[in-house]
Amino acid sequence: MKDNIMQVVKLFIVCVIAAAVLAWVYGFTKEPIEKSKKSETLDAIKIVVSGMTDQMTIKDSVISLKDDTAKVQSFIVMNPDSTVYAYTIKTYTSLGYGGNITMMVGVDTSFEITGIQPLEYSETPGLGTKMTREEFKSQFLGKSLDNFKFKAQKDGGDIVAITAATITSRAVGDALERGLNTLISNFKTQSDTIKSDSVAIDSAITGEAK
Amino acid sequence: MNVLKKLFNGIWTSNPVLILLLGFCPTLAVSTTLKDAIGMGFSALFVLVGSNLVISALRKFTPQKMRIPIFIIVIATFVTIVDLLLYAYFFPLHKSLGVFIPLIVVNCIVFGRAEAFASKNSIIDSLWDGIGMGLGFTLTISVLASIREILGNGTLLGIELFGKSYSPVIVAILPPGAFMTLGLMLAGMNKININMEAKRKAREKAEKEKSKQLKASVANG
Repeated sequence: MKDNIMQVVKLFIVCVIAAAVLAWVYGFTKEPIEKSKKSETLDAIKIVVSGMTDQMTIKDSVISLKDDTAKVQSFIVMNPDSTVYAYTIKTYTSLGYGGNITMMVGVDTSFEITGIQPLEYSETPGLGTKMTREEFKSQFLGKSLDNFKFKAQKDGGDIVAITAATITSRAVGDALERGLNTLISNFKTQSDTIKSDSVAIDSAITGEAK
Repeated sequence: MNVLKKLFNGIWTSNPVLILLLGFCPTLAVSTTLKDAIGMGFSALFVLVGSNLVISALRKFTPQKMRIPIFIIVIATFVTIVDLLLYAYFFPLHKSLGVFIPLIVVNCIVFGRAEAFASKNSIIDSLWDGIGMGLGFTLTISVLASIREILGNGTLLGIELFGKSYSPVIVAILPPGAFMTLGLMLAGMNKININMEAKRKAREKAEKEKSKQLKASVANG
């Protein structure tokens, strides 16, 4: 009986010490972890939006996907004079060979792609992961829903698929198409309203001047 | 000398992967690129050394019946520390190793050394055992990953080796390639050890005969 109690007490002591050590490590790694999480997103935005300067600000917003209830993160890059410079969206697809693929897509104000950057994926190393290479990514530059079919050439689309990774290539097309649709349905009208707003402000100012 | 012997024991004589046949899961799964393999190897090395030290230090405190839960708590603590540290300071590596870092908890090399060695030996011995075993694991997984990366992707540490005209043997980088390469490495290791054993026996035999002849000649003389 006494032995049993001692065993429990000893196990308890070990647990308490382990918890204390972990709390201490967690304490000093918390900040760098958050920083690297943030800088990953920021780096991705910088990659997909070309010609970004330090004066520009990034507005964070959560929008819903078209034909889907899921929410995704979107970032609006604003010029110093608070006009829109570019939109980016963290789009995803579940059609990847190894499950979900999340990628950052950047578009300019006419909704043409300025860059893509895969963020989270579990594609086959050496095959599907070639989607992160420039040779594959560059084919989407300047493309929009109007001038590009986001399907593999095998399926009658325009995407030059990665050799031996057609499924991944298709999935990237799916993610991009969904991302572009979402951006357009959320922001295209809004950018018009922003324009009309700024017109209104202009006229208000001129009105005041009068 | 003793230290060297211990290191050599971990790296070669009882190499955790190729002789003890432990820890196949991370060995097979994380050997697609050399960079990941080295990261995995040193993460496991850190956990192994840490857990060996603590478990050895606690060996008189640990009740026999409670040793398994205590081992697991100690190992899991070190794994979580590695996980947090990699996340904070080696973010890209943490991302590519993914779920295999938490899975070090169930790496049988770590648990096996805790049970078979650290719980019965002094802290210093356990330290060197952990380093030796960790290095053995790191080297094995690195060799396996080098073979797979070179054959399957035409690169080593991400550097292209053969230029664009090389068409990679894709199977080497897929799971079947991992099994095949590991199988060949096991076969090679066994072949070398069998040869060495045979040579040692032949040498002993020769020495015996020599001493026999010597005795005979002494008797004759």
